Amino acid sequence: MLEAFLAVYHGISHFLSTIEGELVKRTAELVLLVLVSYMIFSEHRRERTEQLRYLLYGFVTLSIQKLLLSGVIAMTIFGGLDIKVFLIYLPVVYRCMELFSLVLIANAFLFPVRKDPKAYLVRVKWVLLGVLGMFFAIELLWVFWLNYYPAESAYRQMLFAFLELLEIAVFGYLIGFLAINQKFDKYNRNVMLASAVFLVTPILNIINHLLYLGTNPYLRVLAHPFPFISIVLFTRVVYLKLVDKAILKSELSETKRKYLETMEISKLKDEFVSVVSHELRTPLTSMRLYTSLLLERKMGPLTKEQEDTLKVIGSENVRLTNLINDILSLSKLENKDVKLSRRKCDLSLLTDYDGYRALAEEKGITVTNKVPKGFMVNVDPDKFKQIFINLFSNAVKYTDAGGSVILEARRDKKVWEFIVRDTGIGIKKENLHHIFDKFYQVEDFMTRKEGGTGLGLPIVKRIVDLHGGTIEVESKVDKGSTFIVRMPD
Amino acid sequence: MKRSIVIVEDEVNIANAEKLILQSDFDVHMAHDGEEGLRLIKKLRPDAVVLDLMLPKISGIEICKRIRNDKQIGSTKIVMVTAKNEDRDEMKGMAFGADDYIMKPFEPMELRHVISQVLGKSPDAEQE
Repeated sequence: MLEAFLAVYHGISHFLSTIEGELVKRTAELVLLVLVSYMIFSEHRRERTEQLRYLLYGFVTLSIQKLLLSGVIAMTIFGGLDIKVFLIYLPVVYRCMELFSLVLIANAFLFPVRKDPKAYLVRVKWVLLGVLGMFFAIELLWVFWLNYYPAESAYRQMLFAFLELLEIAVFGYLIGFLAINQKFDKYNRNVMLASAVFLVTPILNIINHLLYLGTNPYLRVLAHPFPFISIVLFTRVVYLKLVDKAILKSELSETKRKYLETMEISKLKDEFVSVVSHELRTPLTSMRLYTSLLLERKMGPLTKEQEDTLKVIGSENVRLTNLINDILSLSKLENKDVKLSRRKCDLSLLTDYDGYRALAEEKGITVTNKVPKGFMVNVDPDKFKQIFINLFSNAVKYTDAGGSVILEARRDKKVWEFIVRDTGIGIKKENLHHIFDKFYQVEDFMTRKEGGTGLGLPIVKRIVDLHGGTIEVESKVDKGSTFIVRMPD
Repeated sequence: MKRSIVIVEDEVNIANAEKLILQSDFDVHMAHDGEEGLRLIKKLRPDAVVLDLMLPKISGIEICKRIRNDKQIGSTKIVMVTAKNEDRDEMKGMAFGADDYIMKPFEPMELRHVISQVLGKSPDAEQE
């Protein structure tokens, strides 16, 4: 069994080392290379990147080289061409093209992992020019040697060995670079494997050239399959990369579609809130105007009960208006692309409660503003004003006559704080962590007929969040509450 | 002689309420869409216009622009009435040339106040 297998193997190896075998091998390589080149070419047309361009040039050069070689071999076999005519130029041209394409391919895989791709590209161009120049010189030497030295001379063998060494250098550098920089991703591991397989042939050839003057048939047969396997492996890497890219692309477009869909929904929501609140405002306006006109006795005298009733209608109208405003405000604040227009502001001016003084005085509450003049903060003034108004009106709302509300500010290293302290009814411990929830109002509050919207504190929280700050509450039932807004300086 | 005001408002109930608020002090006329409004303003040349922002046919903004670009009625005082959800600052920065604005819903007092403010600013009013 084993012997039969070995016989077949030797048979194939032997066939491959004949000139006909060489033709089969080169043609197979040619077909493979043309396929890969076409694959890269069509990808390059879609996306013009440096990496694809290098790969394309590399594989096209390699294809031309194989075409040239298989053409010459075919002509020798079928056309009776004397191969010796080509022996003057062919080996050097062939080697030159091979090395040239190897440099390009190696660089295509090196390029994306370099830190300074631009500078590197310039250097690669010089290396390629160097390769061409060197081969021109070698060509001259080659012709010279052919004329003056016998075929099996050690000099000529050293020349071949040198060319093999250059190939080792190119792929050795590629492997070395990837290994040293720890670029062990799926592709690079395959690139390293393909390069390593390719290296076997030049190593065997060097041994053959230097030790046996290039005449050892075993080494020659042994060296045959590796470049072919290597090309298959490189093809696989390219294929893997292109397929992965295609998958990635389709995933990306799916994500993009989902993102746009979400944006669309969020836009619809904003529009809905905006339209609804606009539509609600119109009837509210009529109701408020007529209620007020009635209260102004424009439609005749009123009894005390009628007046009280109209006042209830009026205040409920105000409450509904506030609710609409708050919903709209929160909806705007929750919008993803909400922007802060921050500027340096004097906190004492932002917390100037003059406009709301009446609110407190009406209830007999003392307000002390301890915010120092010139306490500069970097906030969006309009939005911060909403924080202040909500916290202040809450404090007044939930504090009984004779109580007090204190506004304070302090700065500590990289944060500053704005504090609203009241001596009001306080918040029960179990309710504390709910107060920033939308539409949450502590039950006791409702029974006190305090017409809040339940959106004030969520609005405050959202604005504080937008500023990158935090808000804290300390509260004791019947002692009062303290709201601390903490912002980064 | 009472000074005259044209109210352009497509919501009949609101227009009537505005008329009730202003009629004791002004000669009040009403229009219910933009086209009619503009025609009335050109015909009557009122001292002030109370102009809704969202109107059928011709929008409030457009009427405002046309009034300002018309030599004969260009100095008419304009008060915009809006239910739009613009921020106050945005409304203040109105580039379309209104003298003042008022947000729905508003109190009768607010409307009276705004009207007397814009008309008080007028040099014609001082002469009277």
